Amino acid sequence: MSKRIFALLIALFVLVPAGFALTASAEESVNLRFAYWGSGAEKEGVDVAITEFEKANPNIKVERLHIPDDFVTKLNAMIAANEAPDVCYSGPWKIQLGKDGLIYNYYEIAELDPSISADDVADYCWWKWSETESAGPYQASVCPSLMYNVDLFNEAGVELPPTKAEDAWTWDEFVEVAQRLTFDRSGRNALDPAFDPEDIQQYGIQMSTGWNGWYPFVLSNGGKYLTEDGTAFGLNSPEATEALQKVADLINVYHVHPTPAASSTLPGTATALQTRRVAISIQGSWTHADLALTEDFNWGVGVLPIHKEYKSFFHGGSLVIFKSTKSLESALKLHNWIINPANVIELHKGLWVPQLNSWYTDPEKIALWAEEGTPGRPIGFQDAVMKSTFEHAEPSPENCVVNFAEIDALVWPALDNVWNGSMTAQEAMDSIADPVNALVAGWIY
Amino acid sequence: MMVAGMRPRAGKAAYAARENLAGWLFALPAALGFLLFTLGPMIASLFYGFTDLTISGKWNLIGLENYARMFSGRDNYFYKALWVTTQYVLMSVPMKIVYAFLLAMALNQPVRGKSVFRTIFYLPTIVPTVAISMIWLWLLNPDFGLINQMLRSVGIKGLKWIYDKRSVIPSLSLMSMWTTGGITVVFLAGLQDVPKHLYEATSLDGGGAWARFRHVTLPMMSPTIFFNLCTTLIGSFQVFSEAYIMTNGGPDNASLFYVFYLYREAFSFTRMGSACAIAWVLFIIIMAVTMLVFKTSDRWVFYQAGEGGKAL
Repeated sequence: MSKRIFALLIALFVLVPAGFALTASAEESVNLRFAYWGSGAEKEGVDVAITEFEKANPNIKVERLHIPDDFVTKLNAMIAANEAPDVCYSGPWKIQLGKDGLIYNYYEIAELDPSISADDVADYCWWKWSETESAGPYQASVCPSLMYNVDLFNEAGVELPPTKAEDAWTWDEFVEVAQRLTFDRSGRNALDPAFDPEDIQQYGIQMSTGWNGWYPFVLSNGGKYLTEDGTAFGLNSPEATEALQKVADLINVYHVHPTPAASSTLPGTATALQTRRVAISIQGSWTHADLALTEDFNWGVGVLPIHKEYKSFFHGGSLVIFKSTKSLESALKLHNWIINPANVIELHKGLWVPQLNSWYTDPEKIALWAEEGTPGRPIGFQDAVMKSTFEHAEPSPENCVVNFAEIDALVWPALDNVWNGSMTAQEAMDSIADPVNALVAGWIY
Repeated sequence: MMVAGMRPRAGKAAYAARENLAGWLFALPAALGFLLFTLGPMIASLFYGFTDLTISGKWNLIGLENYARMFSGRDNYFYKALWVTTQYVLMSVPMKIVYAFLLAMALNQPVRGKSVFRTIFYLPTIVPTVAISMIWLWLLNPDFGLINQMLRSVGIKGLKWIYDKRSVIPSLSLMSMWTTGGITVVFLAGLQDVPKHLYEATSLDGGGAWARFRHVTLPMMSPTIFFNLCTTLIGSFQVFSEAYIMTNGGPDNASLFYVFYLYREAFSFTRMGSACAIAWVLFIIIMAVTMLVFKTSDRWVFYQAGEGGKAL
């Protein structure tokens, strides 16, 4: 009796797994590991996209590794243990992974999965480590955006910001609007001779003091990050420093922009606009998602002010595909699925904007993400953000300046001195020209 | 021991061997932990300091290049970070030690509700650094922060605190005093170990409060002070979070603490090999400073049962 049971058990142990193996191999199942960060809406949107991907490709299982903190450290450990994910989010450090040969050159594998046409990706949307080698196109784009609290304009009797690039404010017009929207605690605006800059209740303008805040104005004034031939630092040119100085003057001359200290204690961009601490914000377009959360908040978007010409840019992260993947085809499929705006469409209604040209030209696709009057896309959005950026986009310095991370690490501390008024923009940029020039290694397009 | 008790006939040597084995077994987790998680990585990082290890784990031996880059000044931040951190150590360590010592003396007074006070002063230590940093960002805000408002109310024009290159390190040192609960507790324990009879003897000899402090408390506390000095020194050289959360190393790199600089080298600039070398330089500096403190200790640290030490 017991022998029989024993035999039965043996049979079970041997046959059942074999049976599983048989069914599995019949479907050629593939397991992929996908590592990503992001929280809230972004995680939700990406999770939905992955679930849909698994439904559309029943033979592919995606193991999700959500790593909100210390991503690089953990990825590093996975690489060291030969357990790199197949596909993952990546920061600017992907360039190093590319140079070290750990990730695929997207240009070489693009043809394996035609769901994203490389021709549809704008030229400047690639993370490259050489002219011919790229980690891939942006996963999605973001861009600088001018956002404002409509009520504050109406109360001050100021005309709303223009939404067409050809009508953009000149810098002087912009400064005047900001002055009329800046109030001290006694209710005097910044044009009033008795205005008290020490006691400001509402700021006319707040912008990012990082490169994504000031670089559109440097471009608009004819300046560039490097010289045209890419052999030297460009931000110390008169065109660039003039634009930078004018940003600093908003803080220290006109008192319409919070000082760095005051900025640090203002709430986040969306809340600062809603709580009437700031009338206009120039920040990344991802703020639209935050603004969309409050239903009855009356906000709008306008075009950026200009110096000479209208200029802006898109920037964005990208995914990478590790060469250690066992199924390149499936990994590329997953990659292209996640970066396809159609599959993460909810995120493109506020947090992101598409990175594919056809989504800016095909009316059917535009209607999917940029329909005006929706929570994240106020009236005027298509002119003020979509068209103005798409038609006047330059490459982002993050992608086209070799060694950008290291050069920027010299630029922003120097700019601290400009924002707090202890140096002119020209002095500050000249002071770092030598160390920057030692790092300059050209443009990459 | 139970084992030995159950086998009374076992020889002395066997007993010793078993004791030995048990000892090793008990020590094994700690020893293994040290070997695997401390010594191993340390040796690896020493090795990688001589390579160009990148984020992807690829490396080539490059000899002393990482060190040459640091000391030659080709690295734009090494001397800056070293200077900034030294300033912080020189400023914050004495402030922390003196403040925590005085606080411990106060908390050692026989007053009603002293355990409540002890809890209150220890509380900031268990608050996460992120939360502390946010609180202090508000307190130190030049425009409407509490500290400047208080200064203004007594007619002093406030400072720019962490937003000025000249005041950022003093501001962060001031802030660090707030989280000295740990060393305060050690001081408190030390104070309670000071023999009462010595105070009585001093009083009988006509010594006042100062004499009791100078000739009893200080010498009897010197081992505790020594211990706290060493740990605080080491901790202060490794300051990181404040720069990471509050200042991002600014303004103009004025709070570019050494470990923040190391972190950036590894994770922003992806030069892991160079970061290992940077870490070893800090290790050697900390070791040298600690040894210096040890060397001087026999001049001022007094051990009750010790032989070499003498009173202050």
